[in-house]
Amino acid sequence: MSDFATDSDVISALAACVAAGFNQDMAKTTITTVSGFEYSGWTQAGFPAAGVAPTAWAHPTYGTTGAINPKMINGDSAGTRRVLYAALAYSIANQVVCVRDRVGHMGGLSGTSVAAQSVNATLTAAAADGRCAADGSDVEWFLEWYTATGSTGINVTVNVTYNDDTTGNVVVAIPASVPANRMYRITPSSGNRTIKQVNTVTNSATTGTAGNYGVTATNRVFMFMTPVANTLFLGDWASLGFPQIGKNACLYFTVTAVGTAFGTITGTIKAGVK
Amino acid sequence: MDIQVGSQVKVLAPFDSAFPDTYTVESMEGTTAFLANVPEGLANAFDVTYLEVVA
Repeated sequence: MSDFATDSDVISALAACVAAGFNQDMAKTTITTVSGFEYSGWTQAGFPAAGVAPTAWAHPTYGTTGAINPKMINGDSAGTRRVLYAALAYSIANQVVCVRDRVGHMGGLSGTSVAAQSVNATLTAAAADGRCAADGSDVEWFLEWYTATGSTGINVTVNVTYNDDTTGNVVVAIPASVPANRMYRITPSSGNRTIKQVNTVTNSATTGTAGNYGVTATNRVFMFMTPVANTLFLGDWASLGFPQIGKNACLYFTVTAVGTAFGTITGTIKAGVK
Repeated sequence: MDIQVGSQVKVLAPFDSAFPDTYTVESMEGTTAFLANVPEGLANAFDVTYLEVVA
């Protein structure tokens, strides 16, 4: 597959990014947060429009409502897409924002069920589009909340398939009254194994309220922060790390909160194809 | 044997690997039992489905 090799390639791709790649302006509003927890901006209002809670496992794309890159052009499937430029004004000081490819997601899991609930999350189709490795080695998995669950803290056992095709259980502690947009990591429980599939989740007890949560697979694209509130982060291809995004990538924001607000984000991200 | 406050219980699969010891039921609420002295960082609420009385 062709790839960027020279400065000239970068300049040409930036010049052409409206037609091959994308040049996306955005203005996203804030979400209430609690310091120390991770939050998804998938349902963050603004422009581009907010996403909605998914149902069965699927691979959202740039065309899915909620993606911050709806102008992405999918024409050159043989090429390599990379983020080349980002200018983003952010309202929160010293809070790290992560731009992720939402490789796969599902929702509809209940906070009151104590039976095993099916997830059936696989990476095969996303890997075929170059969005992640099929063995999950570049994928971060999360439990993601769409509607608050109840006032009892529980444990969620996540049954996974590792890259070596063995299965195992990862226990994730879930506190009382988890709000919408909160994310909890599903971390491989031993060694250097990676998760390539999530099979089921089982709650240790009812939380008291069904709510709605799901499983999300993401591939980190780049991160940014501003040391002073409402100032500009500016990144070029080199300082961003020349991040590659796959065909059909669905970009969105997440944060690890340092306070009570996700923050507003306005600006532009440009990606190009070679 | 019914699970009640004060029962000594083992935690069953799929939670057993994270809860390897025997725990005391400190309170009950419907079919949910709350265990004492669970491993740090984990929650203590279990449906009775996932508990087995050992004493």
